Amino acid sequence: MRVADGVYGPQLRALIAADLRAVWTEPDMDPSRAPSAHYPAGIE
Amino acid sequence: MSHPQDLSLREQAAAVASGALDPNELLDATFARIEERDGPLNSVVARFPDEARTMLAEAPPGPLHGVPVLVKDMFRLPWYAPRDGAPGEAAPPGESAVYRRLRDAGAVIAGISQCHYWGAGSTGHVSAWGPCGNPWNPAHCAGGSSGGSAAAVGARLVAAAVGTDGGGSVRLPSAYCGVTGMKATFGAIDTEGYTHGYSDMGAIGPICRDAADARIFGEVLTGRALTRGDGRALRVGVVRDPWWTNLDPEIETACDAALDAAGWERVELSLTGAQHQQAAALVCLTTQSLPMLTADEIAQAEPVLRALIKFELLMTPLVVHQAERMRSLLRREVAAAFAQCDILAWPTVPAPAPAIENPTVELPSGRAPADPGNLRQTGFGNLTGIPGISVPVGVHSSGLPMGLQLQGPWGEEARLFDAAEHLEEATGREFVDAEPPLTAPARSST
Repeated sequence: MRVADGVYGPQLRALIAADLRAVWTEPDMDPSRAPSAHYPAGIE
Repeated sequence: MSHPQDLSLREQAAAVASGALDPNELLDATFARIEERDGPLNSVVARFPDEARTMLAEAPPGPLHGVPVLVKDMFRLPWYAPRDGAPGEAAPPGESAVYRRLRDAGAVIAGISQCHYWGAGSTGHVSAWGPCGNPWNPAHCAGGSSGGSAAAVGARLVAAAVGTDGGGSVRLPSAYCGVTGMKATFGAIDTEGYTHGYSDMGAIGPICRDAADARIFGEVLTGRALTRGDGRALRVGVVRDPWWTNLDPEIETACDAALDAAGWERVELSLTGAQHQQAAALVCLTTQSLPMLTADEIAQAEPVLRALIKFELLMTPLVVHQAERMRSLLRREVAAAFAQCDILAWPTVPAPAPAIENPTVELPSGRAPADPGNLRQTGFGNLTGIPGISVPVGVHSSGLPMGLQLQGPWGEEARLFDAAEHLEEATGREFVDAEPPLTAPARSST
């Protein structure tokens, strides 16, 4: 586990620390197509 | 005539259709070729001489009438329970959608190709079936998790094999083995009867020797025409950070030279959030897969994989939610990028296939396990859902192949085949027609 944390841990902690408050998830997320234009990307 | 498995998929299909090649002789020659060459590779882990003959006897007219193919160990067949590269059965026998597509096209399923344990790795050296060797050097990894499919096509055991790709598992082994592999757009190929069909990261794709064959096989698997267009006048998006950084220098040079040869207009781009795409892909892959495993299965897993799973089990809800937000951000970013370019391009793998005995790679940042760098190069396609294809673009000084990845907008598989065919032509088919030492006459006569 320590090895795995050494490999992936820093990236995961960076992802946790990323400021994504302005990013809205896609309520209708469907990876078979482009994001829907019906929902805003987030608060600018 | 040369050995029928030295023919391309389209040549095999045409020869059978015209009567120039007896499909029974083709099937016999295929099993003989597997027997002759697969020992050091271990790419074909189950052979179906009886079932294949039945399929052939009942084969309808179709684009692949009488042509033998392989299917990765992740699909239900009426006579076979897929194992996902693990000891137990992952699903009972039955008709997967891929099986029906192949059957209805007249194809003959000759066997099952090796798969990394649970599909959870990019090297193919960990599997209940044993490691899969690379046709260019059997002491090196074929890749994963569709390593058996890529190795078998590269060694000319068959002209086409089905792969699956949850984090790069079609594209990565294709690059390692010097073949052409496409991850279709998520959902473009029906996932019914695919053991990872629960995941919205996993897609299915064709692995063949070149783009023209992969297009034909892709048409069979998707059930739609992927009409040939002009791949010459494309705008190619180049996102330097992170995908053109920390690469083996020869791979960077080969991929750059391939883009030069193609003559496409280059558009330098950046994607907000790209530095977090690898972590987001890891989280999405992991959190979708872990609920499918029982405590007993985890306890019995290969030790390194078990340790990784225990680490992944500690992921918090916060990181899962952050990954979902990052996924949405990156999908919006790549959709915007495709307003400025037609395709994206970056190396499929950061370094050539590692040794089976030591599956690490040498990068400018130092020696590292192969998996993280590979996921960095390919996980983006799974996260966003877009299609991607790996095209051979060179042979490394180590004697192992190198691949360039092209990605396009959702549903634009045909554009990627056009681009790949143009790239092949622009490089004089030097790399797509290169034969591994395993297939060279001097080697096969010993």
